[in-house]
Amino acid sequence: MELSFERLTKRYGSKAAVDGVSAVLKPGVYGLLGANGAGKTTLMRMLCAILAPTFGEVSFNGREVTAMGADYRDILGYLPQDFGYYPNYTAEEFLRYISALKGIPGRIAQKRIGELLELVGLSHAASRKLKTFSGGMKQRVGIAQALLNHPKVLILDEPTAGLDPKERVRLRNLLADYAGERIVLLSTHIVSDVEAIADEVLLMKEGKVILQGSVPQLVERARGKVWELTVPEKEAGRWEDRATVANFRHEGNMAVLRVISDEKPLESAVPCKAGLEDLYLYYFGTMEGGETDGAR
Amino acid sequence: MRDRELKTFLRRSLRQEACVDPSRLEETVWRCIKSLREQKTQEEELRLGFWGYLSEVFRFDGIPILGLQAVSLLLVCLFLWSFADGPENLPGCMPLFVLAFLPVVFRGQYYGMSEMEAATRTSGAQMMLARLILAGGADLLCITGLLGVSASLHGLGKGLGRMLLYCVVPYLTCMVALLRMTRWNKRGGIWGSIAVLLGFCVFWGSLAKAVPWLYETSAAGIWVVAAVLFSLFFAREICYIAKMGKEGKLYGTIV
Repeated sequence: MELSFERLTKRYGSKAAVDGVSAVLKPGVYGLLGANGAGKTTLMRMLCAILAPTFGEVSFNGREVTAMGADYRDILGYLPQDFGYYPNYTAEEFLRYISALKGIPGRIAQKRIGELLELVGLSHAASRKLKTFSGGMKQRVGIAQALLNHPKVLILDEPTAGLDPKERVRLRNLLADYAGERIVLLSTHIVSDVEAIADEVLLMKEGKVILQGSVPQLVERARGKVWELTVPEKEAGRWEDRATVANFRHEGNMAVLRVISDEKPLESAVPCKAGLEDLYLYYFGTMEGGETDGAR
Repeated sequence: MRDRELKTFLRRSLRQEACVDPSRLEETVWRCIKSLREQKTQEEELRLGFWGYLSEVFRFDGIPILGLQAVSLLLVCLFLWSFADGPENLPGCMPLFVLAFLPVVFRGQYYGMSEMEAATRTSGAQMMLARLILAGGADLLCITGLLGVSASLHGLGKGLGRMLLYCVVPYLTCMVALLRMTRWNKRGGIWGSIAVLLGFCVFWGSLAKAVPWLYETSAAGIWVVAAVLFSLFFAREICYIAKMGKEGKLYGTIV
């Protein structure tokens, strides 16, 4: 089973939201990392065949997905980034409604809804209206609806948004169990979620996939670029302006900084073991700090 | 592959295998076919057909559709009872029945559910078709009721055919306009549709005063031609929706 896309492009006027992206996804968990506006959501919508690409095509097992039509959507589970809900539906009614749209017969749907609500920890709230749900609870209902039809291709856009750490771990474990013989693609800003379960990570920037590989392969690229240095507290602000500071903590009247830099920033700087977040910051910098070479 | 072909294939293949006991070949073939059938059942889950889906749509959208049409019928009947001095007021009331359909048509867009719904097996076209069937059935009852009220107010049998045309022609023009706007796939379609339908209300409502001869018996032919024309347009829209539904393609505004 494989989901492939070749030179996938989406243009809005002169701007390319997704620019010539190609990949082949086989069963496993794929993480899609990128800053806001990188093109992750646009790419996911094209993979779900709900947004027509300007150029390129998406194929599932060699068949073009728009030609497959309902057959493709039958094996697809999708959680959009900002999804709405019908406020007066209870969780159970909402999932029953989505089951109907997915063509799942009533008896099967009822059983599956019970199992999924249990899986996402919402059995106790099954009869409550969605308008009474917290953000995290709504997100879990969204995840449950994506799993209703036992999809072979599961695409989740920011699934951990609004979830507390315990729920995030629960979701990660669920996805890791679920992947098996299925393709799971999830986008997130929370690097640790992807680092924990992704078999492969795609790093997106300005509409392009700039890096693709397993977590160890990608982290290798950040080796030798992560440093820890201790500076007087009053100098910490200057470091934030001129370098990418991944972490900052106080120790007495000194500041310990974790800095991403191609070269040793200070004689006293100590090299650190790199993680995926460090690689992310290496390519994307920070909002406030300076950009590293990788980000240019 | 049919079972007979599969049996032939299996017999031939298994005879070549040294580990298969020839005296138990048929039993082995039978067990293989049984296992394949079980796997096939597990892999291919049962799915609802269109009529099964229609009953689910009725479960979720039936009451809103019927309820809103009933409210429209009540309002129109009250209007005819209180103010109308002739069946010429019927055309101005018909857009209300289509307006009553808008909340169900644009519900997904309004609540931000379009994206999630679009990624399901049921296409937007199938959803629209199912809702049109329910709304059409409800409107058929409403128009019948309306004709009954109008006939009782203005005399039974006096131009019942004309009254029917006064109901059907504006209804069809409004439905064609609504389906066209939905097909054009624009954001903000709900507000555009409301504006167009209210515009039709004003148009049809003022037509009786502006062009009074159109409501005389001699002008019935114009209404018949208009009914045929807009029926064809409506049929064309329905065929387009059915075609999109059959091909499983996207319909309506999603992202």
